[in-house]
Amino acid sequence: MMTKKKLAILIGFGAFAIISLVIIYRSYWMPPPPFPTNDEMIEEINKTFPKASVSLIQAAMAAGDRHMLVPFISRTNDYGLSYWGLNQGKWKVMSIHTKGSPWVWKIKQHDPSTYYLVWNIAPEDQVDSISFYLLRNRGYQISGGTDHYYNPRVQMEENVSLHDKSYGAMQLPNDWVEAINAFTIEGTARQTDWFGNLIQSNQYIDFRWMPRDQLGNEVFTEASVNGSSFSNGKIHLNFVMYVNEKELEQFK
Amino acid sequence: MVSIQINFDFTFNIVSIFFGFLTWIVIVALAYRVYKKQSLKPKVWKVVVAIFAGLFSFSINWNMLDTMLKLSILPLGVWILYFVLKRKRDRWERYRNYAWLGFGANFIILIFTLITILVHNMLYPKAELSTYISNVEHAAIINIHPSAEQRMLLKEGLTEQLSTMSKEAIYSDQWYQDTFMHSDPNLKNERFPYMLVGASSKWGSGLQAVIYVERDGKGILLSTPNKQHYFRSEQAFLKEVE
Repeated sequence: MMTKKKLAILIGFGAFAIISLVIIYRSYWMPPPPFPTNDEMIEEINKTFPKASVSLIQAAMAAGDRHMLVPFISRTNDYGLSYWGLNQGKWKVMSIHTKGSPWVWKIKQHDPSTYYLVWNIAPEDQVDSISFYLLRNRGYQISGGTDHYYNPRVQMEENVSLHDKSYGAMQLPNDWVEAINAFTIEGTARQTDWFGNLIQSNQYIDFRWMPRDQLGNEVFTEASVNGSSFSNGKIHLNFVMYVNEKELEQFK
Repeated sequence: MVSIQINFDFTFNIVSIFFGFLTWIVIVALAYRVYKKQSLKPKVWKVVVAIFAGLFSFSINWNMLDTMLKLSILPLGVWILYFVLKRKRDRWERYRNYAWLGFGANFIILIFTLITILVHNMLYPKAELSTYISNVEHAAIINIHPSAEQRMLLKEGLTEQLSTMSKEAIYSDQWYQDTFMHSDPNLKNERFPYMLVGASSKWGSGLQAVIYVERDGKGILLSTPNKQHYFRSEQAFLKEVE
């Protein structure tokens, strides 16, 4: 026996279920539509963030199935980066940087295997290659007078050439992913307990870069830094700072 | 670039799962006893709500051996339920026992947690290397410092020595100072330039650690969130790669 009230509830629930399914489908199951055309992308970026004033799209690089990196050149000859993702079945720009110094794009914030190092270096900076570094400081801690804790120095290096292209999107090397996962384990319980032991965490991991010229020397990339940016707030980007020779350890 | 899938060995704590399960069996059994004695049976979902309400309490938390323990002091949930139901006398009467059972469940949970800690420490001694490195089938060495050489893991060599490696003291401050002994401040020799990845801990332990390997291939620094342990072997278990 279907009373009016029960019928209303059923219809309401049915509508809710259908709408939810559509949203879920568009978020997760729907196959990605083709990339927008260059003109469409230029229009979208300039509309979202006029400062970018894009004049030429350099490439559309896939970062996983549902994201892409689109480096561009602006009307003022700046080399910038735009970050795109799928939102309800449509490609939308999530963030824009007017200059292309490197960032770490964490597509899944806590999964290092989805991290991409991205860059777009202006040719006028004359950078021949970039050395990326994963750094963690050496340190030690003694608590309660007897419990020692030593953090080995981590310094891992990966080099990329800028010969053919000013831009790039590189997934982290496997070794780096393993190392980051390991440090996450180490860092999990570093809080205070009631007895005041083990407070700070010197587990801080750093991504750094060093642009090099043809001879392998450090250069300063005047034209690729200090730009402005736009973000839709839903993207995980970490800035990559410079590192200079003095901060790096060598062993011969 | 080829993207390679990294597998996470998701390790779980079998002791905690087992006693957790037992805890709830005990609680449900006690609830059933109360239920059978009642002449006027309440609705089951209301019973569940009453028990969960009773669970809510003011408690003191403290950390013992890396586990959070909770000692309930005030039965806040019971009191709240009383005030909500007291208007009709028989309603409170019907759910009263379940609410107190919920509060009592906190102590059942506490006892089983303590048992879990004891049993877990017996089965998986935390200061032993073999607890954390049980299977090196899929293990490999990665270089984490420029002073690392090209090395390969000798799986059998490591496995054989796991139980005989001697536990040594960590001189973290000394190790830290040692690296600064060179005349050139940038020439630094990291004591542990290798990391062992892909080793699995003992089945059911739910434990994970970072494993650093010493330069000479004979030392292991086992690093867990709260403690570190250092072991030395007789034979090196790293081999030079040609």
